[in-house]
Amino acid sequence: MAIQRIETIEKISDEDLSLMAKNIFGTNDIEHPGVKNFTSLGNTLISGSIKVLNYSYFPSDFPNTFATAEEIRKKLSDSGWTKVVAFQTRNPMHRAHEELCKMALERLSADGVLIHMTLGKLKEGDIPGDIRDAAIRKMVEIYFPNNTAIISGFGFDMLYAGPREALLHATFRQNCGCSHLIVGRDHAGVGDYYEPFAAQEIFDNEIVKKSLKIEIFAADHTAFSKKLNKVVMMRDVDDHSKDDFVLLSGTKVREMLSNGEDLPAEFARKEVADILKSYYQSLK
Amino acid sequence: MTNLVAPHGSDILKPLIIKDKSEKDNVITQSKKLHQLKLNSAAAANAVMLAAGYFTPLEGYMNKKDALSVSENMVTTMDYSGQFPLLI
Repeated sequence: MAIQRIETIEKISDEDLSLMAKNIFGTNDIEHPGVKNFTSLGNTLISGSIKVLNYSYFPSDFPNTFATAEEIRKKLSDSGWTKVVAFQTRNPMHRAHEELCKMALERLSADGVLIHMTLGKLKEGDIPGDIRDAAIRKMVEIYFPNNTAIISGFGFDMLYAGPREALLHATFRQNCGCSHLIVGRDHAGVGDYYEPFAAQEIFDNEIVKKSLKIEIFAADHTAFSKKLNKVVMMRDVDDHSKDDFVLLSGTKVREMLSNGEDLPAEFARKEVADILKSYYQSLK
Repeated sequence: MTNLVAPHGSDILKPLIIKDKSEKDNVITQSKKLHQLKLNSAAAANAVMLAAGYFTPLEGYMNKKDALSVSENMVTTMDYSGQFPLLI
């Protein structure tokens, strides 16, 4: 699928790989899934430029969603947008995410939001890309004003590198033409390896500020507040405790939908939940 | 074209996909004589990302010096793609 002009073939020692892991992941703990993967790829580096023949299975499996950076730029431009905020998601979007996108749009006075899904090989418990796509499209169709949201996707696995990965995600979206990326709590994190807002703070780093043009929209968790009867960002409501929010774990959501139950309207839009519900029921 | 933010490290996007049909045919012919490496799905997905211009300004895979430097110092802030070893 690609041809490479080989420049060098080098051996890289386990020590060097471990050092790289420490720098990139902040740890060389082999229990960290990203480190584990990174240090299992072998000890040979082949450097050099490549040219690629095709986009593999992405266009055929995700015909309306997969897009190249060039195609996204064209879509954004055709929509008349200049200031664009990107939202990355590997899950279906419920009201908390819907509101987060709208908050970013409003607070940044952006022209639109690029909802950028990660496509690709499924892991245990993942909802298939086409179902997620349908659910997100339904949400945008009904609940977003015309011409404020564009949906697209690409294939890039989670590396769980926290702050460094947030930088990479931001770079991808800058290449797509986005001026901002929503970065929430523990972005691209896993377990307790990263401080909750480290992935936001890294964007204040001098080197990053000098080179990356894209900025972040620093977000916190969002959830429906029973007190205020709307979705809020948690850091905006100091006086709330956990019980003041409508919160459902992923497991609970899956369980309810599999049993054919409706999700609370404060948590999910019915039209979105119905799509997921029929998927879960089809598994039985 | 509206004034969207410029790509990273370059004025223009650098997709690595071969668009020209005759160039594609040449490459396919050439490749039959070359050593072939099978990639895992993550590596293939990364090649697609490179093809689609998401990794601008990268044009391929880094050597050890660059990979180590980028992992340590974020020289271009494309630090993470420093670890792009193609494996045998």
